[in-house]
Amino acid sequence: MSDYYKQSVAVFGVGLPMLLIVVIAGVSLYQVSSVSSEHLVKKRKYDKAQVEMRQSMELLGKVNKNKALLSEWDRMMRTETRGTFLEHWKKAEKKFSGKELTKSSHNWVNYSEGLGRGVSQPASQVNMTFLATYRAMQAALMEIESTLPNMQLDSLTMTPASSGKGIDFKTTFTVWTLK
Amino acid sequence: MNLDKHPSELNLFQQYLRTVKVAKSTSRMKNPAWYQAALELDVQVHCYLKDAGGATCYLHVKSKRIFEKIDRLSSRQLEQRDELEKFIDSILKHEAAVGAKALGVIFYLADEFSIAGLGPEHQNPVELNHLRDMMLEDPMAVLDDKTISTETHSWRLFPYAGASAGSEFATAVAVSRRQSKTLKTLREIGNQKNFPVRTSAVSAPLCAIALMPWLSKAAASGTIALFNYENFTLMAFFNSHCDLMMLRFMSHASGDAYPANIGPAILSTATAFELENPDIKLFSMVGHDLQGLVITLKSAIAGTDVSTINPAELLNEFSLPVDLPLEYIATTEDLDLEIHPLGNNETFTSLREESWHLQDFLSPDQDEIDSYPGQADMKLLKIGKRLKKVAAMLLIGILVYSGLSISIKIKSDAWSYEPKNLESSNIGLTAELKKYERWNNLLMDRSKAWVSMELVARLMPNDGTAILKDVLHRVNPKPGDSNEKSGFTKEWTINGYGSDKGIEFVERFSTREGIKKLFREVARDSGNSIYMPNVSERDVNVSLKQQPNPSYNTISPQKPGDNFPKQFTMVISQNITSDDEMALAALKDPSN
Repeated sequence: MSDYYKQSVAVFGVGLPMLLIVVIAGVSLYQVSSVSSEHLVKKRKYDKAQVEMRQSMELLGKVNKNKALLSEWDRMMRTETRGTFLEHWKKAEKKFSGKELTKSSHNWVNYSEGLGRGVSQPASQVNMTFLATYRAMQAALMEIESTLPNMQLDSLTMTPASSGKGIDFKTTFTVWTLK
Repeated sequence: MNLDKHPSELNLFQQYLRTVKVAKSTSRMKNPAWYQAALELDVQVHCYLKDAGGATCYLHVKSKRIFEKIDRLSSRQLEQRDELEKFIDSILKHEAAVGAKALGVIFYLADEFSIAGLGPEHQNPVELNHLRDMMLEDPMAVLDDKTISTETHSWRLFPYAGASAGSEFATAVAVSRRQSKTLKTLREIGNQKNFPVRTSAVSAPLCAIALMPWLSKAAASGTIALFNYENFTLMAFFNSHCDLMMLRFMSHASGDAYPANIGPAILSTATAFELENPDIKLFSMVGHDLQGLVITLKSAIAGTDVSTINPAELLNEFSLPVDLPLEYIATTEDLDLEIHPLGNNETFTSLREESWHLQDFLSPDQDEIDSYPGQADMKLLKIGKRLKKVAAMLLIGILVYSGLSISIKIKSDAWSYEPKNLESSNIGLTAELKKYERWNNLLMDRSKAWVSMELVARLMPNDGTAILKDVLHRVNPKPGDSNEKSGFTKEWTINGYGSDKGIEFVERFSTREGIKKLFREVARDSGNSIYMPNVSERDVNVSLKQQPNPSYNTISPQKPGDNFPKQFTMVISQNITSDDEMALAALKDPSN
């Protein structure tokens, strides 16, 4: 039996082809591994970004949902002044006769000792006195407080009017302001 | 195929190319017969050469147990390639050989026989197998007589299993290489036809020795077997166990059927082996009449039993043609040891197991062997081919998997995703949301005067049995409850007058359940949820004090309260904790 061919067959018939196949397979798998690693990193970033995107969309949804309301509040806070405040009262008073409702006085303080105390939002406090009937005063207050939701009642005093006709109302409101 | 170059002249890659070419252009990879011995093949041609006059040929098909005499090959035909090719073609066309995948050609060399002793340095029986190999590679190194030719003769070792210690344990047997070329030509024809033609050249006398178990029994006085051939007579000396002790041969004088002085020769050797009155058996292997030899032997060795073996009887026993050379039995038939127990002795066990008698004296030389890759190379190539197929399939699988895997990954949204800076927009949105939440909190209906007045109004009966004197309502924040939110309390101090009925009406609200019910009604009717009492973070307490009205005067009342016998003070306190949704947020507004 010849011994000449065994080595050549082992090398070129088995060894080298297998080595070549193993190398190609190795390179291929290495590429897969490399791409997989890179993909894993990208996927993590992508997933994180998707979560952030969803959060952002949720935020945007919430903001959009409240946008009209916030815009209205913003408009109110920017347009309402002490002057317009009195205008509202004047309009309310006009709906009642002088016997039913009369604003006696008002006084502004540039800070709040009521609900605005300890709250970082700037606020003023307005003290007002009225001579009015119970229902007229309640109706006027409902209209004003509905128009100006930035009014928060700090105190309300109701005493019989010294004239014996009507009720003296003393009100103190904290009014949220922008400045 | 160019096989002129010896593989040692080729580089490794060229050797591989030759192997591949042989595998593709021949049937060597698929047909194992290329690497089988001639006697192992199904279709065999047995050629008996008793002299220089040519070969008597017999076709033997093992599977069909056919022995058939076919055309003989003359000495001229043995030397001509065309004739040999025709001979092979004629065999393959023979009805019994149709479909043969290979042909074994066995030459029985009975025309010449030589014996030579081993060199003095090779007298150790333990070296028997080593000497057998040496005899193939370098017979001159083994033989005692260094003048004999290894060019014209082929030498093989043959053991003497029955030799006593110190005696020769083996001998070298030689046959002429005259038929080497013929056998090579036959193999070349096979190569040319891509049809395995395997050859073997056995020594007919050695095969004849292997016949002894069929024809003889061990004799206590020893046995001497004489195998008479055309040109010589072989003498085999067996001991009392019929183990071979020695071979001797004597050439015939020209025209004689046996050696003239064979009697004294046998006698002297028998005496040397101390064989007294041994059985002498005569085998006429080529049809000589040996009656004269019987008489000669009987007269030369007085008292010994000389018998002649009749080949026809043995051939009949195997249902073989009677004209078939007797040696065919030794090469084609299996020995039944129960019927022929002599086969169990050391000599014939050795012959049977190690095929000493079937040694190929004219085997292909190493260059011819080296020209073609061997069976192991073909197997390795085949294994490599299968491995490559499997590996290629795996590789294709891996490549497809890799391609798909990479393709899927690089086509994914994640791969092409470019990071977007959502942070700034999120910050803006968060700020916007916080702004909303802040303002939503600040603008909550937590303290409305008109709702407060509604509460007070509902405390009083409509029938005038109780009236209010004065009301003080205060809202007090409770800063410091929490860093983020601030709770507050709402308190109503209500003074009034009432009759018993009126006081009874007011008393309905002086319990926790009563005031909570009133709060719930106010919340439901006004839509102001701060009055909802069923919230765990807020609580409502109430107290009512009543006493006689000191200014009670129904005759001349000064004020409306003077008409009522009792006066009362109700204090209602609602506590809103910092955990309540209505609690004031204390966060600083980043935009303001």
